[in-house]
Amino acid sequence: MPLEGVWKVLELPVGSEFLVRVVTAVVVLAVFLAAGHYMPSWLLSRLKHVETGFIQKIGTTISIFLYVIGIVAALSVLSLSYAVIEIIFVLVVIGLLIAFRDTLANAVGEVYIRLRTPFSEGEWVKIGDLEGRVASINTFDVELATPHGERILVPNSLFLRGVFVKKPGMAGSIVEAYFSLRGVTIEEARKALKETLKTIRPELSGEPKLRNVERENDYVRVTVMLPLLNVLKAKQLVNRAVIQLRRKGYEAEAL
Amino acid sequence: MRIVVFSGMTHTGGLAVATLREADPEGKLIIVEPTVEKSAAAKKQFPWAEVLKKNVDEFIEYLKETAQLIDVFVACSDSDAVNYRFCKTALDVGVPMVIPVLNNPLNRELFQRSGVSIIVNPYASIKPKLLEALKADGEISLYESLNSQIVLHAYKPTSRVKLESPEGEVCFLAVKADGSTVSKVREVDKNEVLYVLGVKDAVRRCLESVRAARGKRVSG
Repeated sequence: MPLEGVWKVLELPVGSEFLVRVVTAVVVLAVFLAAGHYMPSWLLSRLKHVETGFIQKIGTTISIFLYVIGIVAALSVLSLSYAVIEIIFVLVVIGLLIAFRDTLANAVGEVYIRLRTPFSEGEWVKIGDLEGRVASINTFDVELATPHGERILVPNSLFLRGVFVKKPGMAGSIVEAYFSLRGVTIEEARKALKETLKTIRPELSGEPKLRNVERENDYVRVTVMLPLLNVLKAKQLVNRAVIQLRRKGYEAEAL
Repeated sequence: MRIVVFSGMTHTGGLAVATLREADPEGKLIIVEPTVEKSAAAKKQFPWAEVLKKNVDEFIEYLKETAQLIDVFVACSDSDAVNYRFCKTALDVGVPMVIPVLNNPLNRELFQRSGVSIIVNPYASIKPKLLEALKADGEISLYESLNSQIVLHAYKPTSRVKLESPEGEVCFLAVKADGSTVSKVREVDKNEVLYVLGVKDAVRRCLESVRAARGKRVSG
């Protein structure tokens, strides 16, 4: 046999023909597994202008192709009987299913998203703490564009497991803001806040409302409802209101 | 609301600015124009708005810098390519509401694919208006609400058609040949127009039943 010949030329101990085949098969499998693991990223690293999701798809396809070729090549080196090959095949499949369970769950997640269409690209969704506009739906993940300008890849399987909220957009949020004014009466605080809120009204999507005005020791605490379309500007508006109050001579703070 | 409009002093831009002012009279409206001449003209035409002079690249930077303050962005330049670039940037930086005004209705899909959900098509009224005025018989789609849930259809029968009682989600209104209107309609005749308003699927089912009833002889 040529393999044994190689073994003898290298002057390595030869236990049996089967041992030689096993070692060779393991080497072949290892080479293909390593190639399947590292080669796709190396090959595709130059395609920077192509969409990330598509690159992932191509990379996974190349990996799986190399793994399968490696398994077939290793089995052919072993020259096993058909029954043994079947058993090994079943074990490999089970192994792959366990190894790629997350990937498979994500792929199933894509099928769910595509068929059930709980949301589509461009819509606003919230899952757990993550919130954003759906930028793209890929095989393994959904890309969200967050209000902070970040891009987040959410695995598709999360949409199978977790509860998510579909929103018409960031529209319609009402933000509660708390102010505290020192050394004024409730009426003075109410009047001051109303006047101040007028200055930030152009930035709001509706009329701001004073929800609650109550006294706490020397302070008057005011709860204000701010209707906002873009909730990210809430903090800035509150700070602006505090500055306005201070300019008028009030000892004001945002809580 | 803080509404930013890239107007380009187009006809649609001018109309959009006036409408946005009507939608939120107390809001902050910022008009962006690409040239000195256009920004000067916009200042004169819309004295109540803040007018900025920014070219395309400057405006892209402006969008990125002020995205956290902008509530609505409306793109109505005379180029869909420029509008697309603006809208894509606005979406990427998280502007909550992005609205392009189309120059070519065929570009609608392009904007939809990029994730824009509200698209203004100024040409959308051409077809229903002409059909309503000129089409002798059949069904005419007149209006579809923003979320595509509510629709208004007109139906001009070729002969007398008896109508089934409408479902709860559908309203009938008929305009008779003499111009009078009838709300509780049981049948419509030739030269009369039936208007059907309701939930999209219910209206579709209703019009299917009307079409099926067409040709059936009505007593009297």
